Amino acid sequence: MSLLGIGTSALLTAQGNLSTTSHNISNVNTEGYTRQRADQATRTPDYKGDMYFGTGVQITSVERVYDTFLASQVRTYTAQEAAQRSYLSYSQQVDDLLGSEDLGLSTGISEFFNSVNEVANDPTSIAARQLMLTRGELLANRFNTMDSQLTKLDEQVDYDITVAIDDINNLSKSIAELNSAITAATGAGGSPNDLLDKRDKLITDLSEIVSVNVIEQSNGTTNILIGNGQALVAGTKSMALTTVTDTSTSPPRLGIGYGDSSTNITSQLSGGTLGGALDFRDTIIDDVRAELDVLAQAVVEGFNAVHNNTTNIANGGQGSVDLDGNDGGDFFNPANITAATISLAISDPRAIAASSKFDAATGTINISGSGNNENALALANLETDKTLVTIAPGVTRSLSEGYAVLVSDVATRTQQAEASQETQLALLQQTEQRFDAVGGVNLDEEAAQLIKFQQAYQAASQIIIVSNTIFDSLINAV
Amino acid sequence: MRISTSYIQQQSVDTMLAQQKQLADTQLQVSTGQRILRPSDDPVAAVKSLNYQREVSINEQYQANADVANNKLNAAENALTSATNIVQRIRELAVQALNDSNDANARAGIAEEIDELNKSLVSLANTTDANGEFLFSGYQSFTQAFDTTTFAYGGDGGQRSMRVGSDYSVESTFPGDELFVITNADTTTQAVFQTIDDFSTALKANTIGTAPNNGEFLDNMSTAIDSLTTARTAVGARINSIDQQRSINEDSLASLETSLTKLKDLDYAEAISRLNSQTTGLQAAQQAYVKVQGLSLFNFL
Repeated sequence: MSLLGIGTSALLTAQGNLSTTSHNISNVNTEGYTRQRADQATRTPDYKGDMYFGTGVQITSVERVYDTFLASQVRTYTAQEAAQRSYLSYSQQVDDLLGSEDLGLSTGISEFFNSVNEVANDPTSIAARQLMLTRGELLANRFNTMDSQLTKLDEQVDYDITVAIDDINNLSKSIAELNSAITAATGAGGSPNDLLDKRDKLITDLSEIVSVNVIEQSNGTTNILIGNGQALVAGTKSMALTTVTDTSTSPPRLGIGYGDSSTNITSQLSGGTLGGALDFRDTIIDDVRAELDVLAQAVVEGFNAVHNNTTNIANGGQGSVDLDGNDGGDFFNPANITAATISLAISDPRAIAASSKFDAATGTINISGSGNNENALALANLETDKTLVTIAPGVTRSLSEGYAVLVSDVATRTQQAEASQETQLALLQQTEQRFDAVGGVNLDEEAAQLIKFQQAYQAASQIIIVSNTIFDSLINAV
Repeated sequence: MRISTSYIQQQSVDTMLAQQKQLADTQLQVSTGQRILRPSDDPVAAVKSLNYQREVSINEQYQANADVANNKLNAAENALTSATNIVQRIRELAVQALNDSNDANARAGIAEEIDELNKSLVSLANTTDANGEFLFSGYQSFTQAFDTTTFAYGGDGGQRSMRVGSDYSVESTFPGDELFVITNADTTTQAVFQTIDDFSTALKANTIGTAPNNGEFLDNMSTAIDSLTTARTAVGARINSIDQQRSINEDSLASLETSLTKLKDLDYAEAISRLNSQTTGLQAAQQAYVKVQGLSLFNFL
C-alpha cells in the first residue's frame, strides 16, 4: 500500500471523526438526541513476502451510545410521574373547592342553622323567617354549585381524553412512519442513528400520555402495545383510537375505543396524563358526588321530617304549624334529591312551621299560639343531631361531621398524590440522569475530541507531504 | 461518571424552579398569615379547624340567643317590679280605707286612686316587647294577656324556651295566669285585678267590712305580692343563670379561638426565617448556575 493511500485513509478517518464530533456539538440541545461515536479500525493489511504491512485506518461504523434498559426505565417512570401529576392537578381543584369558605358547605350549614335559631328566638318575626328562607336557599345553592363544579371537572376530563386521543393517534402514526423509514435504512446497511433517536423521543412522548409496552423487532421496527396488549403500532402500521360515549354513567362520559368496532378499553388503560385523569374521575369525582348526594338527602329528609306536620307526628313529635296555624309542609323539595337538584319547597316566610301543633303537657291542640317556638327549636337542634346523616347501616354522623369527613377524605388523597408525585419525579430524574450520563453530549468531552482529531488530521496531512517529498526526490534522481 | 452538558443545565434550572416554588408557597403563607392554604396541606388540622369553626358558630349563636332571652327577661323583671310596687301601694290604700275613721267620701276618693292603680296594673300585665308581642300571654303572642274590662286571661300556659348553651335552655317568658291569677282566702281563683276592682266597687258603695272586702282583702293582696315577688325572684335567677351560661360560652369561645389560631395561623418567626433561608438558597443556586455555565473547554481553544 502506498504512503499516499495510508495518509489519505488517516485523513478521511480524522475527517469522519471530526464530523461526528461536530454533529454531537451541534445537537447538544436537541431533545432526544443521543451522542454518536465513529468506530475506527485498521484496514486489511497487505501480505508481502512473508510479512503483513499495515494499510492505514478506516471508520467501520457510526453508532449511538445508548442504554436500552435505562431507556425503558425512563419511559416507565415518565408514565407514572405524569399520571400522578395529572391526578394531583385535578384533585387539588376539588380540595380547594371543598376547603373554600366561599364555596364549601361548612359556612352554609352554620349560617342556615343560625337563622333557624333566630326564628326560634322570635317565631313571629317575618324578617327572621325571611332570613331563614334566604339562608336555606343559599345552602341549597352551595350544594348546586359544588355539584356543577364537579360536573365541569368531569367535562374537563372528557376534553382531556379527546385531546389525548388525538395526540396518541398522531404519535403512533409518526412512529409507524419512522418504523418504515428505519427498515429501509437498515436494509441499505448502517445504523440510522438520528431516525432511531426521533423514534425513541416519540415513544417517550407517548409514555407521557399513557403507559406503553415497547417490543423491539429483529427488522429494526418496534411494536407499541397499550392496555392489555392492544397494538397501537405494529411494524409499519398504526391503529387509531377513538372516543366512545359511555352511557352507563349519568351524565354520560367519554371513554376510549379501540379498533374498527371501537371496543371500550378505558378501564384497561393506566399511566400517563390520560391514566391520571381517568383515575381521578373514577375515584374522586364519583366518590365526592355520591357523598354530596348523601348529605343533600340527609338535609332534606331530616329537615322535612321535623318541618312537615304529618311526618313530625309520625315520628312521635308534637306536630307542626306555620304562622297562620296551617299544618306544616315540606321545607325542602322532597322529590329526586341530589346535590344538583336540592331546592326549597316554600317561598312564603309565613309557611315556615316554627310552632308545634299540640301542647306537650296537655296534648290539646294549640295551633293559635303564633309565639310557640317549639318546632323551630327542634329544627335548630338538627344542627348537632349526630344521627342525621346515615353513612352506612348503623353508622351515622351529624351534618357538619359528614362534610368534614368528605373534606378530609379528598385532602388525604390529594396529600398522598402530592407525596407520590414527588417520589416519582425524583425516580424519574435519577433515571434520566443515568440515561443521560450514557448518551448525553458533554461539550468539554467533545472539545477534547475535536483537539484529538484535529491533531490526527494534521499528522495525516504530514504523511501526504512526506509522500509527496519522497516522490519528488525519486523524480529528481531520474 | 460523565454528565451531559444539557443535563447540568437542566438540573440547575430544575433546582431553581423547585426553590422558587417553595419560596412562593412561603411567601403566600406569610402574606395570608395562614399556615394551611388548602386542606391537603394538613388534612387532620383542616378537619379539626372545620369542627372548631362550627363550634364557634354555634357558641356565637348561643350568645345571640342569650341576648334575646336576657332582653325579654329584663322587660319581664321591670314589669314585675312595677306591678309589685303597685299592689303594695293598693294594699296600703286599702289599710287606710278600711280604717273606720274614713267616711264614705274619703273612701270614694281612695277608690278612685285604687282604680287608676288597677288600670296601670292591667297595662303592666299587658306589656309588649319591641316586636309587639305580649310578654305575659304565653304562646298567644298577639292576644292581650288580660281583658281590660272582664279581666279574663286570654293567653295560654306556653313558655318560650331558648337554647343558650349546649345543654341549657331557658324559658324567656312567663304565662300571665301564673302571675296575676291568684287563689283568694275564700278559695276563689280569679285575676288580681278583679279582686281589686271588687274592693274598689265596695269602697265606692261604702259596703266594706264583709268578706272578702274586709281584712281578707289585705291577705289577698299579700298573696298577690308573694306571687309577684316569687316570680321576680325566678326571673332574677334565670337572668343570673344566663349570665353564668354566657361566661361559660365565652370561655369555650376563647379556648376554641386559641385552638383555631394554633391550627390555622402561621408562626411568623418560623416562616420569616424559612423565607430568608429559602431566599439565600435560591440566590446561591442562581450564582452557582452562572459560574458553572461559564466553564467550558471551548473558552481555551
